[in-house]
Amino acid sequence: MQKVVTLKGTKDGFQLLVDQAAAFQTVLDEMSKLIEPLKKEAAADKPLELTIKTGNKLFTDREKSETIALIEDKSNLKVKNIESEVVTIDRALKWHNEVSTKLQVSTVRSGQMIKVEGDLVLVGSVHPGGTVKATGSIFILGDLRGTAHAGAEGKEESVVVANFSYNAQVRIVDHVHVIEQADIVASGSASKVEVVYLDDLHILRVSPLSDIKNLRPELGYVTGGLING
Amino acid sequence: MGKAIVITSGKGGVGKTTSTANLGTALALQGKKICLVDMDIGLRNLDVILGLENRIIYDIVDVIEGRAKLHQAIIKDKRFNDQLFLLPAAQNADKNVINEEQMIELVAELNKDYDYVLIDCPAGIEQGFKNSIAAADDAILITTPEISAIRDADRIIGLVEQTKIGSPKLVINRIRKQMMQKGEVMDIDEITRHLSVELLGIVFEDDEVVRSSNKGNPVALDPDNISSQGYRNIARRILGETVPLMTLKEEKKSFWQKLFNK
Repeated sequence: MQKVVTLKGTKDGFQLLVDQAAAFQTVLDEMSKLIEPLKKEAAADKPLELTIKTGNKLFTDREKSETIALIEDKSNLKVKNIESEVVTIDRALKWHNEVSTKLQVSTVRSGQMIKVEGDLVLVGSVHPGGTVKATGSIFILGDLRGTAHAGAEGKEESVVVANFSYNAQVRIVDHVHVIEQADIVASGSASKVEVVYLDDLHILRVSPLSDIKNLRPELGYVTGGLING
Repeated sequence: MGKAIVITSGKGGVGKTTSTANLGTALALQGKKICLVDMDIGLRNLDVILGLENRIIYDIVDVIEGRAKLHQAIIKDKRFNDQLFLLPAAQNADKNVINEEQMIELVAELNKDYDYVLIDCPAGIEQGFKNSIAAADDAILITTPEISAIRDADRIIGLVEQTKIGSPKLVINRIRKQMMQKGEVMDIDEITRHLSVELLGIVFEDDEVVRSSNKGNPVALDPDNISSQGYRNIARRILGETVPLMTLKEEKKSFWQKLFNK
């Protein structure tokens, strides 16, 4: 009979490979047999870490917690991660939404708010009293005279790139920076496109645009990807 | 079939009612049949400026609540030969007694009989504003060169753009030539560029506007007055004519000419 769970030792620790076609109860039964010797081997001061790989099978939250309970129960074993080759469509869409750049072509007028998930490129101006909000970074091709709020859900690497020649407000996560220009009488020219970012001390800083690649080298790349498990 | 144009501003005191009365007058002088609708229920003024206050028998709320027929409530301006009419607002009710559907129905009825229906919108963005906007085909946005009026105008553009009306047309009212020449207020070009809507016309500030309004004669009746000319030009542009923008000063003509021709 084909085994549904295989135990493998690698340099990163033990792995349990689960056959994607097997029934969950069979997997549990076989797993408990397999880890029996491991349980004895693992000492209290040095817990053994296990990674479970489920291939093209996706464990539900309930199945995950049952598996973890089985392995960690009365033992010094620890489940490091439950990994799968696949994700649900919901999660994939959510991830795609978070990392994709949204293009908006409009004027954001007083009282209006544009809110996007991920990064925002706004082609148009933000008028006083208008707000643009993104969970990622904000890039404005136009005048910023209202409020720009990047990293609205806590992403501290977010930046705001805009022409900061006018009175405006920039927020990154929950830090606020008020941009004030004494001579606001529109000069028309002398574009001051700069980048606002959150430094290591959590202080909002304004830098020339040329620094952006040093400050945020990862900007423009989709990094990390979607981690399963 | 006529066209309903709402005259709005957001901020109060920029000259919505005065502009409604004068644009109505100017359009009537061009031979069109006009009905002015005062939507500032509870704080009506349009009748006063037109000098028709004492002729009100029924008002818009009477019509909507069925106490009067539309033709009974509408007042004819005797200075014109069957060209300028007013549907007055109620003074003893509030703006919430009318809803958008009733307003659409009412204006559709008026559109059958008139070339233009001008709706005088109340200040603010509450129910009165919503009612006024709901029935309109076009919008004229009145602002002054003051920053607070411009800010409110920006908000109004945003709200109007979300409706079927689309982008409103801008009228910059109460321009004080000297202040604008000295650069103490935003100039016409700056305001138009900032609000990024089409400029329909400008009206200079003049004492005669207040003086004639107090007498119940819209200033647009006076062909020589500078504010009147502004309103008359706007009326002609509404009718599709190409009229150059008035100038702050003669020698500056080339600049404004350039602005207008762009």
